[in-house]
Amino acid sequence: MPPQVTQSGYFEQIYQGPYKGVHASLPENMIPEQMSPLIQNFILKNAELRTRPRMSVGILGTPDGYPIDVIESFQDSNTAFHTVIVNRRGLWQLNPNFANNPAPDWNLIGVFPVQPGPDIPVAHVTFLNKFYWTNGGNNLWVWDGITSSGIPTIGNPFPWPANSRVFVGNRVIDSNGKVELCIQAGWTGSAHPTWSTTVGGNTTETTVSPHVPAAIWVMNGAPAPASGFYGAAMVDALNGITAGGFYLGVLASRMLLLSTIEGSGQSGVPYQQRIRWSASGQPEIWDANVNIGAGWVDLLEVPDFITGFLAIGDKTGFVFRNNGISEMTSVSDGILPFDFNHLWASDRGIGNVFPFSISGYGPIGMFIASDDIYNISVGGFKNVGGPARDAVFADLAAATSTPLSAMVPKWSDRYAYLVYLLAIPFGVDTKFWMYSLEDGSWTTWLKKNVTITGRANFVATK
Amino acid sequence: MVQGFLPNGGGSGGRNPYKPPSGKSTIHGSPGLLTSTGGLFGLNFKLLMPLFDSVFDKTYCALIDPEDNNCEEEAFYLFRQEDVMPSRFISVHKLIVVYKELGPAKFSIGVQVYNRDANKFYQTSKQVEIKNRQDRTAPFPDGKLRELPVDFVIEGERPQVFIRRKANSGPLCITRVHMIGKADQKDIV
Repeated sequence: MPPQVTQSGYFEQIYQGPYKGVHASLPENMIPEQMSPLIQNFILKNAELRTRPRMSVGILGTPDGYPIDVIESFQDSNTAFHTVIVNRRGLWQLNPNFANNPAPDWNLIGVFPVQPGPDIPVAHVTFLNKFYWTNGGNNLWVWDGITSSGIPTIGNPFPWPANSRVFVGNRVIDSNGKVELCIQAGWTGSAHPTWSTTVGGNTTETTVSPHVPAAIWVMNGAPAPASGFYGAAMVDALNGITAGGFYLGVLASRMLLLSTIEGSGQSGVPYQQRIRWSASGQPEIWDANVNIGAGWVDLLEVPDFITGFLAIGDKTGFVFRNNGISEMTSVSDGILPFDFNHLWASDRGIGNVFPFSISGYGPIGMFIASDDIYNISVGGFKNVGGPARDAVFADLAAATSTPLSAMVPKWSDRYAYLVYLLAIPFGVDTKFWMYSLEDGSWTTWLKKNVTITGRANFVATK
Repeated sequence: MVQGFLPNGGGSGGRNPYKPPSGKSTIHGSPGLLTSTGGLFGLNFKLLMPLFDSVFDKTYCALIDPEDNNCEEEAFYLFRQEDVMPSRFISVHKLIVVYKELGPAKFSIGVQVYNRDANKFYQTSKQVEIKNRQDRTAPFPDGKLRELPVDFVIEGERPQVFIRRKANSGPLCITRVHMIGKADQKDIV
């Protein structure tokens, strides 16, 4: 509404919230009064125009100066929290005394077998109290945050322990130098059992008296690379083929590897249409010869490549491709546990064109397709670019490197504000487009002289 | 019965306070219990973003602190252009800013107009300051809504209010802006 002019010519225009964000799709004199043609470094929560929170140096990086690819906190099986980062060198953990100089901010947990390691944004999940990640190599790495007094170096091959209680998923190296995974919790005996030498062969502990029951192990092939942490995805245990990839997910108690890289040693071949899943509840068993619950599929019936994954609930997930989306539904616990339904009848449709633009929070996800920015949830798809879409796309077209997104539900314990934060590199600066899922508004931030290297995350610091 | 508040904040139930069993615990540690490598208690969480600083050639995790709105970069907000009387000259002589007091801050607020004869845009602005006063008895900042009148005169078409704040110039929280002026009502000939 334009301001009302009285007979004397007096007018008064009032601007007040809730403010609705950037509007770049109409002339500046035709947009609603709560919208703006240009916003920089303001947030609009609670009907206020508030300067955005300060971004200051919270924790220094690692001494090697490599970019931080991911930051995440997980809780180990002792309920201790670990805040970890991954860079080209390896895995680091936050020192609880980081704020007290001269204590180092980060302690090195382990290094990649080949230096320097890959340096792309890392896909990661926490599954059964362990931190799993993969970053474009042929390994899925895992660290459990735990060591024992019997192990001199974290992540070294875990020796078989005598007279000990072990649990499903525990991993040891048998007397033949092979990886054994516990598939039935119980006790180990006083001496090594006769280990099966066949991949997928089971071994039941002997000499367990007086403790019962005896633990049962399954042989999972040669040890995957271990260096402070270890490789978990042995997809062909007989031939020592391991897999890593670009995206990770969890669906129906199985871990998923998408757009995989597979090979032996440290080299691999990319399979950009491949999805692998682990055995149910066994994220370190990926070979169907070891456990029939593990498996893989190539989406050869669609012409494009996988660009991300988002789970919407426990049974259904969406596999994103450049020009489409495939619905992935858990249908059984058998040999073929998933059904794939490729959405859209045409060969080009709503897909995810920027691999790292996908972010999710619970059942809500956001991604960028060719025609708009979409919000995906249990209720379906909703395009949310709105009047800011053209401006966001203009910035994406001018990006000097890969855009990276994060979904932030909480900014501090006292400040909840669910937003999608899309970082677009512009030379040495970074421009952020922030979409508030509460207000449905878009605003921009600018941060000079920095490049974002990993997704923002709400992590433990004490 | 009237429900009263107890000193310990609990309800006025009839039970005695819970007494834990005394004496030595009979719970033994698990022989297979493995200790964690380092780790945190999970008492405090922060929003951190991995960044690379090209000036200092350093990597770090930036802390995004929602309790501190003193943004380290310049901030700018542009309101829409107002067709008060389309294609007529108007004059703006006052802005009133309603703001929430978050701390000392400096910013500029102004108006841009279009002049058809010169085919140019003109703007005027004033720097205003939110600060403590020696004679003030209320605590500063108190987070309450306060007002700032800003007086100037600018004439032209399609006035457009803007707010500009330089980097590190204090936290700003504006809830309402009034633009007040007079419009030319003569016939266009």
